[in-house]
Amino acid sequence: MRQLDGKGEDGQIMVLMIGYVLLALLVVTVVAAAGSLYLGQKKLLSIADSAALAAADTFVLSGGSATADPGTFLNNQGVRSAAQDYLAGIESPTTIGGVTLDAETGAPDGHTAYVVMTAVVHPLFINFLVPDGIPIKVTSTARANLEL
Amino acid sequence: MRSSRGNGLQGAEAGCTPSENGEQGSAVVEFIFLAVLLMIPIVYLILTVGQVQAGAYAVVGAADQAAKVYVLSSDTSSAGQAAEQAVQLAMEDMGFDAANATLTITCDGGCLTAGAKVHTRVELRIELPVVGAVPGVTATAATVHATASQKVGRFK
Repeated sequence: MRQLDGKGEDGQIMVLMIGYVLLALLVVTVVAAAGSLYLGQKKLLSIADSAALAAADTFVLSGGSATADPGTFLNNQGVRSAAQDYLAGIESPTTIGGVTLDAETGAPDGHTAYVVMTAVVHPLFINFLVPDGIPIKVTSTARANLEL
Repeated sequence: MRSSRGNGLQGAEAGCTPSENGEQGSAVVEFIFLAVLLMIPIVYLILTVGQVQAGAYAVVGAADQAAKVYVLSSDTSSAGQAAEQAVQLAMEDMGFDAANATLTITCDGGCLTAGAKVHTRVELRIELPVVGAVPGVTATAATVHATASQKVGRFK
């Protein structure tokens, strides 16, 4: 009886410890995966930011008239092609794939470059659970201002 | 149980107490043994993973900011200086030694020419958590890097 009790306790401590270690490993895995997701979003936002800045630089200067103030004008086509051109000229980051310009990209108000990008993040360790990756989408806006 | 009771009260006391002590003792010893064997590596792994992740965050931010400040400067020397400063700031924010980070800047066409693309690449050597703090020891856990590109504007 006593011998059995003793063994039972031994075993339980072992099981407890191994269970705890597995749980800790699982938590580390999940945290690392969440971190890589955040990192992918950060990288894509950085790309979209730069693309929006490049797109905002395609403005056409309007000297103003009797009825309109001077300003900078953007059009959908210019913003889209500038963002596409920027995207083609950079080396694609390793952790995110399928970086594409969304159809919403353009200059909706004629002054602001509005860049929307989508990509797929393959999270660390748990990629086998989501073989297609996790889709992310970022939006960035930029505007050229006239200054004295 | 019955046979031990038959031995008398004293015998049962004497037989029970040491065995309980013995069990407790062995559990503690085993716990400590397993703790050393399993928990310390786990804690070290968590520290290392955290360090690598912090490094990955730091380089992504550093590369992005370095490219952004580079294209804003008016001449290449001050642009390079500003980019270095941005990297240093990003590293110190994440608790890394800025000396472990290297910044490489390449330009398509002349740097700071309108329409040119500036590429920055930041590489950071991450030290192992405890061993790396010992002076004279360089134990690298991982090297992380990130790139960013920025287009130089037409007007500044």
